[in-house]
Amino acid sequence: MTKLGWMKSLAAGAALTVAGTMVQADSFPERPIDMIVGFKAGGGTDTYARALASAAEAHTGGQPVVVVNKPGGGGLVGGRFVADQPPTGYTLYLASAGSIVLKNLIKPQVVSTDDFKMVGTIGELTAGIFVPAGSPIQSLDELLEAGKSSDTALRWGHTGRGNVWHMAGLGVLNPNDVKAKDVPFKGGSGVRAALASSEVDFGVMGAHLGLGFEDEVRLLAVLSNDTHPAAPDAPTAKSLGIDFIPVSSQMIVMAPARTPDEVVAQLSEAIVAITQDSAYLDTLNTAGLPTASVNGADTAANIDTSKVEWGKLLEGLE
Amino acid sequence: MELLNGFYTIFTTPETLMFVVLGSILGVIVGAVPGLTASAAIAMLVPITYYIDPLSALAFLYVIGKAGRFGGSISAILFNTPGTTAAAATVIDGHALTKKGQAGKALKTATTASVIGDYVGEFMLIFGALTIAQLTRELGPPDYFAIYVCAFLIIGSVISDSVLKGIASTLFGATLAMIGLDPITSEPRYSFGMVELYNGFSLVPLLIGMFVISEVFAQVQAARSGQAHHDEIAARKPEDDQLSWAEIKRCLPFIGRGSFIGALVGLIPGVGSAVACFVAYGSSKAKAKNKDEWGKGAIEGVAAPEAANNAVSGPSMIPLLALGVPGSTIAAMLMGVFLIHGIQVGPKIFETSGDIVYGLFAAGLIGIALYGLIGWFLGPVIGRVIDKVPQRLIYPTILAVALISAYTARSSMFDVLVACIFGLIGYFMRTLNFSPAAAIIAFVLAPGAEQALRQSVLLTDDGFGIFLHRPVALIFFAIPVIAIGIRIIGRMRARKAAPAELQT
Repeated sequence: MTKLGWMKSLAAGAALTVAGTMVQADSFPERPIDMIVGFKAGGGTDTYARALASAAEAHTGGQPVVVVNKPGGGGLVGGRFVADQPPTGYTLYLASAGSIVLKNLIKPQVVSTDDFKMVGTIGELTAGIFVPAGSPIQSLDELLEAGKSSDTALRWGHTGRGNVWHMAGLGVLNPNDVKAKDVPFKGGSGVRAALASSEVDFGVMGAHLGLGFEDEVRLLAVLSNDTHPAAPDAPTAKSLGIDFIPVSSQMIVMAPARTPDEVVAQLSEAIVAITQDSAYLDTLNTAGLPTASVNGADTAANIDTSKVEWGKLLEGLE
Repeated sequence: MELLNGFYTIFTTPETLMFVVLGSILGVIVGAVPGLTASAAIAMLVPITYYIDPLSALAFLYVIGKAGRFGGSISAILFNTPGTTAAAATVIDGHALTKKGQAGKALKTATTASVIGDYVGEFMLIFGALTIAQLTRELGPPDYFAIYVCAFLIIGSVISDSVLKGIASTLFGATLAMIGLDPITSEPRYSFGMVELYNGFSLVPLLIGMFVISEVFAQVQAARSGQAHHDEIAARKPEDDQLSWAEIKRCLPFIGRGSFIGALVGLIPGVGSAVACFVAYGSSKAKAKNKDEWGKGAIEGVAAPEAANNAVSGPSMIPLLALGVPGSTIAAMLMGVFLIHGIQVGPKIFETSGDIVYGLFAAGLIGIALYGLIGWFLGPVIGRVIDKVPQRLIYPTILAVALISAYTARSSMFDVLVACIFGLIGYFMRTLNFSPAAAIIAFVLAPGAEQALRQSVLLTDDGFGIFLHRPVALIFFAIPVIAIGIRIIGRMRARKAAPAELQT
């Protein structure tokens, strides 16, 4: 498949030289669009890309969206690749913007959100704060209280320092002055396993990961403003009136920075339409992954806000 | 009885059955092609499976994984290059048998052992998944660290004739694994500013370099120095292509031992076939009566590791299905397929998607039988065909295929370069009697070990004291100590006995 994608981009490159600058906004798109995913097939980002591709044709004038996996560098290799492609709108990048923004706030990386124009948000993974099922702690309030009063620091699991879920955890711990020791695990499944065997006192991971594990872990609250589709009964940090900074992993489609504005606007319109298509919604709902439908301009504004908010959080880190 | 329903589903759905058949054929092929591992092939096929029904998709990939673990033994036996890490131990006696003209016998031994081992593992998965999952659920980072240390020491002590060179090779592999993201701070380490090294080396190009390209270099050198002797693969005697019942009986205890070791190793996330085959080889050799023949072409030396690497397959699904923890690369990719089809892996999967899970088990059982038939009847034929092809065509072809495999895994030219560099390193390691296999295994194990150790220390206020409170960890620390102790005592006794023999 990857080979096919490579051949396609080669063919696309050849077509481009022939067509020159004749690409006109009104005939866009006139050939398949490549959607680059910075991770291997089968991961969460990939699932979003496949769902998008499966519903795309009806909204792109019959042109398919082809998912191409270019893993490496925590997703950044694929991002750098797209940033270097001709800015025609035929090569797009799908990534968790949260992860790229955080990585760049910590240290400048090979690629940042400044290398792209935002096309639209297609999903948003939000964090859940969990305790082991056998834990005496029943609510987020009790947990924060326990964190403040306990003589020995509580231990909590997350998916890696500087990762979105680590920040989401700090986003609720720091404003409430809770000091806890963090232990990074490999991926959400690692955090979940550590919770199931009570290695840690609490953990922060994607809120959807509790699905099917109700006998092992207890979701105390979703760390966002809105309820989560995979856990509609769980309270949100906002509904509990708890002070927190929301950190989420937004799945964002991006185009190289020099892509013409009218092409981006057309793509943005298509993305909004696809993300409201029932084929797209059904696929992701069965997978328990939350969808979103935000146009390019609002996506860019959200990212700018996040950069400021998250920058404050990171200052708290050594 | 759900298992019978599973069989019923598969035999009444021609599409699914077709994918099982296709999976076993494809698996044997990708396993047999040097450098193209089953997990790399699955990675390429995952996107296709999004467009077929979940049971066919899962059965297809699962059976490829099984057949691929077996297929690796074919190139290990015929070309001295393990097709996958799982077959790294099979090379030792398998290729020695080929040199004796007994390739057919070696392939049949590998087939028999793989099939029996795979069935043992699969039945353990089918009948014990939930019970075993309850036991493994309680394991935490300190226990995993002890398990890794146990694996390191056991393999280090059996993999090489020279203990020092074995340890040096292991350390080299572990050092390579340090490159990439620090598991605790998530900072890139030793990446030398190269974004390609941000997540460290990936396994496939390393494998291709150390195992495949280095073997090609070794063959070129042999041809240059005029020592090239065309390995006689055609049977000299008719019985060289056959495996007699008496020989199977001789192998059975070793197959049993290998299956047991493989099944246990399979339960532990992140350890895998490569470890299982060497532990099985080493411990079986120690128990064998014909120790002197091992390494020079003993069929038992093929049977033990082949049973072990396939026995890993079934149990490695237990942590995935029951705990949602993918225990291997293949399991991680299967998890993605479950996800895209909206099936939630975890303790409730047997209730919520029992039909698919038991269908998958049935597919596994059918797939084992299929690749067994392919191996038994076609193995000797493949051996004879390969024999007709001149060697000056075989190794260049292998080199080309290996480089293509290195590229396609991540569509990366960087990986091709990595494969070439490690081809040279692997070649020099071989000529200097270091062990590329030990380096690769250490490379696979080291990240897990490092993470488990550093997590353990973070989980407690008493530092390394945490291990003292963990009975499981203590048991696993004790195993290699006792095993190595017994070996040292044995050697000392042998040394005492030896001079006495000389005098008489």
